Amino acid sequence: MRPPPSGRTLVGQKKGNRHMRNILLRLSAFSTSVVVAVALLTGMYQPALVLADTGTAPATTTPTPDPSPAPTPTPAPTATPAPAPATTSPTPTPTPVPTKGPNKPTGASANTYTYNSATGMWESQHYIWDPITGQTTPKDPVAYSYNPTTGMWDTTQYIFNAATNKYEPNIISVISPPLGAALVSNPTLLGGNLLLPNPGDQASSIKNSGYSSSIFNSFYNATISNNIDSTATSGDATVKNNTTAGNAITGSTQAIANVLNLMNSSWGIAASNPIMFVANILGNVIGDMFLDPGSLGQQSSSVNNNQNNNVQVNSASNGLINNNIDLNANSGNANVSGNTKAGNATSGDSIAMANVVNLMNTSIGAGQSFIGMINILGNLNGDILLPQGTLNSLLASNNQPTVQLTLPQNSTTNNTVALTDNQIINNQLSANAQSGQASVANNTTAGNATTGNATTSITLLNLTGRQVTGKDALLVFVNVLGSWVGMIVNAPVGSTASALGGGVSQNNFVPTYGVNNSTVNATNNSAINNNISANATTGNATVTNNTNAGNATTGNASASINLLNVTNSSFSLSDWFGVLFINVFGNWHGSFGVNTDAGNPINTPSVASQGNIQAFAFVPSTIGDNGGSAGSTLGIQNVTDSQDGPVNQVLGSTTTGSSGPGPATVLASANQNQQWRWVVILGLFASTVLAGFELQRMRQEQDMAAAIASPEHHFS
Amino acid sequence: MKKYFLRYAVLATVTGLTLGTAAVAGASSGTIGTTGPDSYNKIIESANSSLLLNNNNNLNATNNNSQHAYSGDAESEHNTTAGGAAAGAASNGNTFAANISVKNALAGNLPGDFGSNSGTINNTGPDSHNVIVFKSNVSNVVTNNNNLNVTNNNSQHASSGDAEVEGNTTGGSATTGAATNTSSSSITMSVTN
Repeated sequence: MRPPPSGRTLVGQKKGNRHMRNILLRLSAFSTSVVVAVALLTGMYQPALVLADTGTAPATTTPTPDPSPAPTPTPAPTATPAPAPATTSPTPTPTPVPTKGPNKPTGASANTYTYNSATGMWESQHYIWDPITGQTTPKDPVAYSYNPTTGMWDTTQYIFNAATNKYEPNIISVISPPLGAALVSNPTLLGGNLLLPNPGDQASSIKNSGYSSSIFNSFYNATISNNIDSTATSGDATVKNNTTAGNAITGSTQAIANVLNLMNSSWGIAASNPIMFVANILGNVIGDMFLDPGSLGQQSSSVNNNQNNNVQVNSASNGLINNNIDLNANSGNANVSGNTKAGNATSGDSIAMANVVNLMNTSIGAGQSFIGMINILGNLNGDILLPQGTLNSLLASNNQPTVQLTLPQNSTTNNTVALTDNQIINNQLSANAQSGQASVANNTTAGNATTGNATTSITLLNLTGRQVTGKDALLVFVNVLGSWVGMIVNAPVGSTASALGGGVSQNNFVPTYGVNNSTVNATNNSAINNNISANATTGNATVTNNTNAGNATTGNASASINLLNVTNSSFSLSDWFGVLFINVFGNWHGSFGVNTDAGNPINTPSVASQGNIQAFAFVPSTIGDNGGSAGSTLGIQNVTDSQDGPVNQVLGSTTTGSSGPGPATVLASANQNQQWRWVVILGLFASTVLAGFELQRMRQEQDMAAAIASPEHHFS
Repeated sequence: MKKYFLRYAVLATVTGLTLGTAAVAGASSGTIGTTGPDSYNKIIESANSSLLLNNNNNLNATNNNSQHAYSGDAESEHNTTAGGAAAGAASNGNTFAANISVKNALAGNLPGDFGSNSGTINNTGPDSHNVIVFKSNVSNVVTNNNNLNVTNNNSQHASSGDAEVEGNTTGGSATTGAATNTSSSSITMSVTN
């Protein structure tokens, strides 16, 4: 720290043992101080010493923290120079011992000192030597700066190099600077209010320095596995070797799986649960139906923005959804044989259906939502329509989509954003349907042999990386298990699924990140594996070796899969969001969203004839009226129309006015105060489950009706 | 005729919540005023904070559902006058819902939010040395390791029995019941760090 002037001056002072040890440590680096150090330890010099080294430059010294003049004890020159100490201490010596030392610096750096007659001091480029005290003080202010790399405080001292005959800088690092030491601000400044009224006064300074390091490591591994094995088998029915007997009828079978997976996703229905309804269309229905989501309530949505500065974020997300679903529905064989008089052999229908919705890193926020399912079990001749205003909005948005590619925006050039997004969606879907064999053979008198229909349907919709901000959106699935002649509005011909958006103001594919002065390393690995197999088989129907028997009819076999995969997407909708499943088990001649001739009367009905309009029954209650009941109410309505004329039907709106009757039934209601989202989800599946039971019940009724209608059923 | 209807519902909800509290220092202020000649005045406000927060969350939910529904056989044989033989329906229904949520949240701000510092030096004397230093050293390391697993194993088998009308002088119909399996699962998993 201090260059040693020539000669050594020993100034004895009373100090504690701690101070003695400190001095000893400082001396230990210098070979010329060994003798003094040993003397200090052994008490040769009593009681404590302050040494002013006038010899060679120290290798390591404790910097003088204060630029103010070093405390000067009472001059104490010594007659005999002491051995060269390593350092000097700024600690004042309370009890100076007068000694007589050399009147000029000595040592290797002695020639760098010149005498200043004005001060009476010897001065070199970087140090001042006091001939009275024999101590040296640095001329340069000693200031410390924080080194974020080492976590130490650094200061620069100058050491005389005898070889080069120059003072050379030397960086000294300490854990913490001495009390009162000057500090140099770091480049990173914190905000604050700094007032320096005398900017020209260099002796006054306000320094606001800080070093901040924040590291956030967020990792998650999430796995959802659904392993579903479902087999439904109805037994065989046999009527044989009877004189007179009835029918052989095997029961229907159903294997239905509904799966909803939400991984880091939300269905943010803040105000109320989605309106859910199920419509079963039985028999022959002629006429259009209207779906009016506009009657649903509105709820504003909010978006929270978070911004992190001066941070490092390491994020690794591994999400995996595995759906292994195997559904089998097999109806038994029906056999009528060897009878004198017997009835029919009829095997039951089989339905295997999987409805799977996977949402990963996706949020859906809407003012109101509905989830609807229309099961066309009979024959529908008519369109399912939206109100014209809603339809125009959807069409306009789809014709002129606003698509933006937004890259990360950074306010400074020091930011580093590394985003890695790996998405995999594997869909292994298999739907198999097989109706049994119908055989009428070796009978004297018998009926026909008719095999049932075997239909398969796979409806798949994948949405990835989609950000939609708009007014409303609708996902439509048409699951064709029977026959369908029609189309979905604004979708390619042949499409069975479509996403329609209304009032879309933003439709981004790449998420945005608002980070500043940050390092973001984000890796997102998401995978959805769907291995779904749906198999439906109906049994054989056999009428053989009878004198008089009926028909052999095998049931219908239908296997269907409805699959929706949505990843890294968000729907922020101010109005409504709807999901509509249209399951066509029977026959549908009509379209969705397109008013075709289907269902229209040959003659244009007059205004007066509007009085015959029958309101369809799916009418949600007014949001917020009288509080309502908690949760959503599932509505199931069976519609059977035996009228000859067309019937217009309305889904999701209230029909008012004197020209037509009011809503027939309130089937769905919602409560704004509903808080539990999972209840909504359960409700969704409950609706589907109930729909399945309802379907089963109707099948049984049809079977029973067929059995009753059969003349062979009645016997004495 | 026998009819079995089994309904098995499992609801698993696991919620993990970790709250980390952290000290937050307020803003500092310093004023040096009306100093004397040749005086040396210094104010040092130092704030150091260090936070090491590790959250390790392992959440597992497993649903094992095995359902079997069988209706027996129905026979009407070798009767002079007999009715029908009808086997009952067999039905299985299962509903599974799991809601797993992990939220690793810090209550309040992280250490290092020292606010705004204010310093004032005025009316200083000649040749005085006046220094106000605000310094902070903040180190925050937050690590969240989350492992979430939900497994839903569902096995359903529904079989209605056989129905047989045989060897009767006058007999009825042979009818087997319906066999139905329905399964609904809802799994919600969310991680908030």
